Amino acid sequence: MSIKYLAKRLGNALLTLIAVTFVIFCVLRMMPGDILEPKAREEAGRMGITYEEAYDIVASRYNYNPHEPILQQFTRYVKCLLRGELGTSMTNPKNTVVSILSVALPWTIFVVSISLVLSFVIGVQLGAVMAIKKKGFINNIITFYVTIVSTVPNYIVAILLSIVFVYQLGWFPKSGVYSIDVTPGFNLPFLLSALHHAVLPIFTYVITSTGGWILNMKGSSIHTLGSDYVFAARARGLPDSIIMRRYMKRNAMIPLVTTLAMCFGGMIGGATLIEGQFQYLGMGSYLAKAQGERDYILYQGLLLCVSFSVIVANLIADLLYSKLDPRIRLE
Amino acid sequence: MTNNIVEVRDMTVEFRKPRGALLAVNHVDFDVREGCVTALVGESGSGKSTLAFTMLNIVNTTGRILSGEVLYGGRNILELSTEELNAYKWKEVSMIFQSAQSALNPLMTIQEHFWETYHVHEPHAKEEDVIPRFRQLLEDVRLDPDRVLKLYPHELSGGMKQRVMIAFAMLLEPKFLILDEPTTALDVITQDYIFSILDRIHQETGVSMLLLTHDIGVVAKVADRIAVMYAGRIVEMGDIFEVFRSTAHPYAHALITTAPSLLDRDEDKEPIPGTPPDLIDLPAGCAFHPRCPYATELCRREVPVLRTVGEDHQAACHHMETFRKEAGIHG
Amino acid sequence: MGKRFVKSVRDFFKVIFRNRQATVGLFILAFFILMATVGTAVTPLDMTVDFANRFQMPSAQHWLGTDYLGRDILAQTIHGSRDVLTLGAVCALMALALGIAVGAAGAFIGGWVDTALNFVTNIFLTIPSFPLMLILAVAFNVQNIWAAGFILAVVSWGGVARVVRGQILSLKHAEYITACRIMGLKTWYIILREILPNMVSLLAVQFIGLFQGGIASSMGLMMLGALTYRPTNWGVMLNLALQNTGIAYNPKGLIYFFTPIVCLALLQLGCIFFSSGLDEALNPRLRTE
Repeated sequence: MSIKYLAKRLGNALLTLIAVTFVIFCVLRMMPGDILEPKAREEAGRMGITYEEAYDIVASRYNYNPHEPILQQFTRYVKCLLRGELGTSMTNPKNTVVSILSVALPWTIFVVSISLVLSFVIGVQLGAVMAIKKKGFINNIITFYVTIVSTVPNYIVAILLSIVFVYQLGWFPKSGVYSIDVTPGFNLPFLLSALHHAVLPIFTYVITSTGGWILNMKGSSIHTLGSDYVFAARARGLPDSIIMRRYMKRNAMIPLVTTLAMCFGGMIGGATLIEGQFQYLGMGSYLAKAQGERDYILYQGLLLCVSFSVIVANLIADLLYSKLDPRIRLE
Repeated sequence: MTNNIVEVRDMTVEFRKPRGALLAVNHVDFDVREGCVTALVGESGSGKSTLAFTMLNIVNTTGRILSGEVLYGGRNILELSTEELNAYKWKEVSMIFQSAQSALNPLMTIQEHFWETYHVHEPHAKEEDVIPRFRQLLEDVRLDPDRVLKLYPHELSGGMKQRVMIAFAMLLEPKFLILDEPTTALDVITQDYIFSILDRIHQETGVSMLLLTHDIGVVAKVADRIAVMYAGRIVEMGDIFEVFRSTAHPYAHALITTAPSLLDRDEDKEPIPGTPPDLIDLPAGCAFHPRCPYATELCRREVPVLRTVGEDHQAACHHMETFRKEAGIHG
Repeated sequence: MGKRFVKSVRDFFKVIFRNRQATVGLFILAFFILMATVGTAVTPLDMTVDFANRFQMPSAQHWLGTDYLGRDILAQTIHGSRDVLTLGAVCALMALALGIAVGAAGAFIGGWVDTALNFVTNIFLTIPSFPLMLILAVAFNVQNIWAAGFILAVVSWGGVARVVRGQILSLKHAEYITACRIMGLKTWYIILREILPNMVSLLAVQFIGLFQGGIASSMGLMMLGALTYRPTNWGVMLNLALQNTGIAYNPKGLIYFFTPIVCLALLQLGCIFFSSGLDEALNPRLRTE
C-alpha cells in the first residue's frame, strides 16, 4: 500500500470529520428557543444573582453562547474539541461529556463489533452455500429466514427478545453492562458477566443483519461463479474445494468489505433503540436519555463521537479493501 | 499413418434459454490428428467453442451434454470420476482462452497461479524446485520471469497476458492444446508475434493443437487440417490443401473466398447473403439453405450428412457436384 | 400516446403477474392501500376513553378487541394505516427528489460542483441516521406529516444521490448517448427520452426501499416518543402498548401490542415481494428476454 494512498484516505477522513462536526454543530443551533434560558433562570434563582450574570456563567459552563456570531461559536467549540473537551452534561453538571463517553463508548463498540463480525462471517458462509446449491432444502430455509427478518425492524426483534428472555424467562439481566458484584478488569467473572449482559443485544443485531449479508454474498458469489477466471480454473483441473475457497469466496467477499463500514454506522445508530430496550448502558442508551431530557450538549458530544467512530470504521474498511484487492493499490 | 489424439463421437450439447432450448453442438463426429494443427472455423455461435469445451468436459453450467463421447487414449473422458477428470485436465489437454484478460484470478500473482495448478497436479512437488521451470516457460514466450512472476494479472498488457497464458498452458507439458480465438482481442502485430511463438512451440514440442477461429487468413498460414462448423454441425472438414483447393460446401466456399487478402481486388468479394441462423428456431433440413443459392426442396427437407469427397476430405451438402461445377471448382 | 400508455401499463401488470412473488406483493400493497382509503372512510374512529371496556378480547363488536383505554384496536389500526402509508410516501418522494437533484446535478455539471456535492452526500451517509433524525425531530418541533417526512428524507437521500450519480455517469458515456449527441439532439431531449426511461426501474426500486425505510424509522422514532403528532400511527400504538399495558407480564395487552407489528411486517413483506418483480417489469431490456 502506498504512502500516497494512505495520506489521501487520512486527509479525506479528516475533512469529513471537520464537515460532520460543523453539520452536527449547526443542527444543535437549530433548536427552537434559547436552550440556555431555563438553565440561566434556574441558576439566577439558586445563586441570587441577576439573570444576565447567571446567563454568562451558564454560557461559559457549557462553552456555548447563542448570542455570538455562528462562526465565532464554531471556532470556540473546535478549540475546546482540540483540547479534548466536549462540555458538560446539562442535566448533571458534575459529569463531563468526555467522562460519559469513556464509560459508554467501549460497551457499544464491544457489542457492535462482535455483532458485525459474527453476522458478516455467518452471512458470508450461508450466502456462499446458497450460491453453490442453487436449489434444495437448505436454500429454502435460508430464503425463508432472510425474508422473515427483513420484514421486521431490529428494534422490534429487541422488544420481542427482551419480553421473552428477560421478563418471561428471566435468563438475562434487565439492565446494565455487568453485575455489581464483579470487579472490572481482566478476570473471568467480569468477562462472563459482561458477555451475559451483551448476549441479547448482540443476538438482536446478528439475527437482523445477517440476512443482508446473506443476500449480498449470494449475489456476489453467483456473479463470481459466472466469471471467466472460475471457468478457466475448472479447465485447469482445480478441485471444487480450492475453487470455492480461493476463487469464489475470496473474490465475492471483496465488494462486501466496502459495505462493512456502512453497516457499522447503521448498527451504531440503531443502538439508540436496541440498547434502550435492553437498558444496556452504551452510547445508544445515553443518546435516548439525552434526547428525552433535552440534554443538547451531551447529545452533541455523543453524536459527534458516534460519527467519529463511523469515519474511523470507513477508514479501516478502505484500508482493508486495498489490502485485499491488489487492483486498488495502483490508484 | 497418423493417429487421432482426441475423437469426439455423436456429440450433442443443449443450452436452455428463456426463449427455448438450442443445440449448440448437434450430433457431431470430430477427430483431432496427433501432432497436427487443426483449425475449427465458424461464425460466433456456430458451436465451435462448445465443441472444444466438451474435450475438457467443462461445458458451461447452463449447457448439458445430451449424447456422445470424447475418446482420449482409449477412455471416454465424459465418464471419468471427478478426480480422474481433474488429473486429465491441463495435464493431458490444456487450453488458451479467448479472454486472457479475465482468465486469471485478479487476486493472485502469476507465480501463485502457476504454483497452485502445478501443486494440484503434482502434490509432492516443492515450490522452490519448480520455480526454474516456471522461469523457463516464461522465457520461452519472451517474458522476463523476474518481473512477471510477481505481477498481478491487471498489471500485464493484453499481449503479455496472452503470452503468460501460453506459458501457463504448457506448464504440465500437455499433449494437446486448444486455442480458443487466442488473438481476437489483440492488435495485428501482437497477433503475428503470438502465432510465431505458438508455431515455435508446436515445432519444438510436437504438441497437437486445435485452433478455433473465424479468421481464415490465420488458418491458411498455420493449420494442417480444417473443419468448418455451421449452426452446431460440421459442414466440411479435411486436409487444408484439399479443402481449400476443392471446396465442396457453399458455406465453406463463401468463408474461404470472402477472407480479406491484400492481393485480391475488393469487387471480387461477395459477403454471404442473409443472416446467421437463429439457433433456437433452426430452419428444417440443411441449416444453411435460407442463405444458399443452390438450395432445393431436398435441402429444406433433409439434413445432409458428411460424405467422403476425397482422400481426407468430407463435406455435407446435397448438391456439391452442382455447386462445384457452377463455381468452377474441380473435385 | 394514450394507446401506448395503456399498452405499457398492461405489459407492466403482465410481467408482475407472471412473477408469483411480485403478485403476492402487489395484493398485499393493494390491501393496505384499500385499508387506508376505503377502510378509513367506512370505519369510524372513536378515541373516547371507555375504561369499563378495557382489554377486551375480540368480539363481533370489536374484531380485534380493545386497548388499555377501551378503544377499538381495529379502527385505530385502519386509521393508522393511512398515516403510515402517507408518511412513507412523503418521505420517499422527498428523499427521491433531493437525491435525484443532488446526484443529477453532480453528474451533469461535473468538476468542482460534483466534488462538492459528493462530499456533502458523504457527510450525510457518515452521520448515523437514527440519532440525527432523533435530534432533527426535536429541532423542527415536528407537528405535521410534511415536517416528519422531511426529517426522514433529510437523513436518507444520500444513497439515492449516489446511485443516481453513478447511473447517469455510466449512461453519459454509453455509446448510444454519444450517438444521440453526434446526431445533434438537444440535451433536454436526451435526458427526457433516453436517460430517464433507463432509470425508471432503478428509481422505482429506490422508492420502495425509501418507503420501507421511512416507515421503519418513523415507527422507531414514535416508539421513543419523538414523533407524536398523531394518536393512531402504528408506531404510536406500539409506544403506548409498551408504556401503558405492562406488556411483558400482561397477556391481555398482546393483541394491542402485536397488531401494529404484524401490520408493519406484512407491509414490509409486500414491498419486498413487489419490488422483486418491479425491476423486471419496468426495465425494457429485461422484459424482451
